[in-house]
Amino acid sequence: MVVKILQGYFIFATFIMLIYAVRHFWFTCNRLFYKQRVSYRDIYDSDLPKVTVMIPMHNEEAVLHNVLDSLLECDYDMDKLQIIAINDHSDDRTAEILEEYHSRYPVILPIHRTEEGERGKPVGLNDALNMATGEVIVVFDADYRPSKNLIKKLASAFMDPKVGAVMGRVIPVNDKKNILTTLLGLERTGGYQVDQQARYNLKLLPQYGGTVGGFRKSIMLGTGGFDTKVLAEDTELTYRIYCKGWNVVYDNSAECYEESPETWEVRGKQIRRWARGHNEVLFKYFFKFLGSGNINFIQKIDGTLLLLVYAVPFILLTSLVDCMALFFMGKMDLFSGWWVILFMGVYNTWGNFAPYYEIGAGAFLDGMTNEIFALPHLCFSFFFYMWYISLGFIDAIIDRVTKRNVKWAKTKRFNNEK
Amino acid sequence: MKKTINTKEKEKINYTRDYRHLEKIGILYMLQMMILLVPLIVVYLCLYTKMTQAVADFSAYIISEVTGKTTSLVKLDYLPVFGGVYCVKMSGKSPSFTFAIISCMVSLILILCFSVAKNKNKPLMIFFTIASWVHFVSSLYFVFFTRMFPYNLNDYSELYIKQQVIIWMIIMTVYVLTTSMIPDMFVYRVGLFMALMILEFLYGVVRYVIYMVIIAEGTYIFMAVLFFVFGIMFDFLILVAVYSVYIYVAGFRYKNKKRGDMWQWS
Repeated sequence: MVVKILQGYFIFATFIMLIYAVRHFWFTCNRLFYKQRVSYRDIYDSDLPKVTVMIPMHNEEAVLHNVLDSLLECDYDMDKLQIIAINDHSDDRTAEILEEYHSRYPVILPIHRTEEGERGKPVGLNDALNMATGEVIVVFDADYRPSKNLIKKLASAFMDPKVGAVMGRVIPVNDKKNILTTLLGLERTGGYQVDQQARYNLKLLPQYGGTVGGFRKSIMLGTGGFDTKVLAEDTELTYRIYCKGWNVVYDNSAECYEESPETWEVRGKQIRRWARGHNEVLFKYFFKFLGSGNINFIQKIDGTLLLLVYAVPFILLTSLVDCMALFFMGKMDLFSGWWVILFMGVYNTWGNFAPYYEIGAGAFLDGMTNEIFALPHLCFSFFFYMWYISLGFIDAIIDRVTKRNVKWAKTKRFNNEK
Repeated sequence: MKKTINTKEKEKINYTRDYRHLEKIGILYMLQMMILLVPLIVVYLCLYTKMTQAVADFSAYIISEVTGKTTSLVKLDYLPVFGGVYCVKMSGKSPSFTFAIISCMVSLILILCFSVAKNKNKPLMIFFTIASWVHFVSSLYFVFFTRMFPYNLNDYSELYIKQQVIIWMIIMTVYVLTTSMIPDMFVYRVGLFMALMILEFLYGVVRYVIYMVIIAEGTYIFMAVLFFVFGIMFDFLILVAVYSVYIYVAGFRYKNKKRGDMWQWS
């Protein structure tokens, strides 16, 4: 009986990996060979909505000038733009610098959150929502560098009344710094140039990523604001929007530059927090999403796979333990068959986020050259991700069981352009 | 008056990358490549018995030279229609209680070292930590249940060869499938394919010899870690490395005028 259960679990894990392999193969072919769905850039001349840009900040003195200066140079009508910089309990010079900016540029409005109480990005965004005058909210992290026409590109999507949120493309600015940043650059390419664009082409579920994206203020206020108990407020908003019958659109041409983590330690913490937050959303929305009448069958399948994406590394880790148990029990008959090859083959093309050929296709479309040679390193970063994401998954389960409060942790900035 | 344009500002205008894609006919090209793969697979299936015979023959000779132990060849049933496989037959041994205890302790020390190491290459440290855990579990098993260990070296040898036959076939298929996504350069792709398969073949043979020697000399305690951690993953590492070379060259070719005209924007 035990052996049957262990073998069953192994076949289940193999099946899951096979589904993701087919999904990514489908996405890659779609992105490479089919007509691409462009965003709403041909309606620039329309009467664009008023936009409030929100930038959550916690000790951002080293980088905040990048995002603010970039925004001040943007080509959006300044009369229709409001910039709210949310200073969330900073103890460096963030507050002082923001006040300097405010005195020179009244369009920048600082909020200083210094009182005791809840901290974190969702709480800060909720405070800013109450002060926002724009119909559309666009969010950036403090280390981002938006291109000149980015706000216009993002805002034009909201001329479509069915659009609830829009997502732009994130590109690491420091991708040549070291092997980690090069790998992150490749992952971003696979994730945005191929995965997000293919999901948009196929009318599946492009994801709102929390930054370099915007949403309608009315949706957020009408559904109670950001959930302060969830770490992945972006994923939560994505599923909330779809469940309410709105669409999320992806604009591959709306590029924004970010600073990637430059050390594995920082990346490990970041990915663990993302996994924790994403899995909290999985627990919260799994049945709600499947039961929603506003989403079609194919979208439900894609949305479920997207929800499970941070649970799969845990399934892989446990199936490795499962394999070992079967090995020591002498049940090698399963391993000498095709199942193990299928499982190991898919697993060894490294994970459910983006297999090597999807990243390779993205890099090819982006015209990357030397960076491609970092691709084999993904083999080892796969183990790194499996480990940290599994920890994040366990964190999320403990959060669910103990109902403990989650604590926001900021990703360390490196800022190479002081 | 004719307006003059300053062309010196930008010597080369790159193709915009946002929405570019290849011709839809690429899907058909992929299908053609997969159809071409079928006879290749059939030839391989007809040849694998002889290939494993050559591998086992060569390995048996090297292993007996290195270990001084007697080796022989055995033919086993495998895929129906296509035939069996050959593998090396030799005796192995279980670890002593003392060796298993020492192995346990060494694994624990390694786990500790890899976990706390302030090495810049964290993924590699995690990889070695997982490897040490696998070996620790294996050592623990031999401390308590040595007599219950269900395999001998011949089982391992059989499993290795049977898996290797399938791996070579899967590597062929995955290579053709993923490289034909970016059409063009048929001859170049065939050349890389040959290089990949030669590398794979050599790697499969060398690894077989090394693993058999390690288990024969170092006891069955190393079987789990070699199987789970240092096994199939590296075959796929070679595949991805060769794929990277292909994409690198393809990327350059599609940047120039000749292939650059292949891009579509609508």
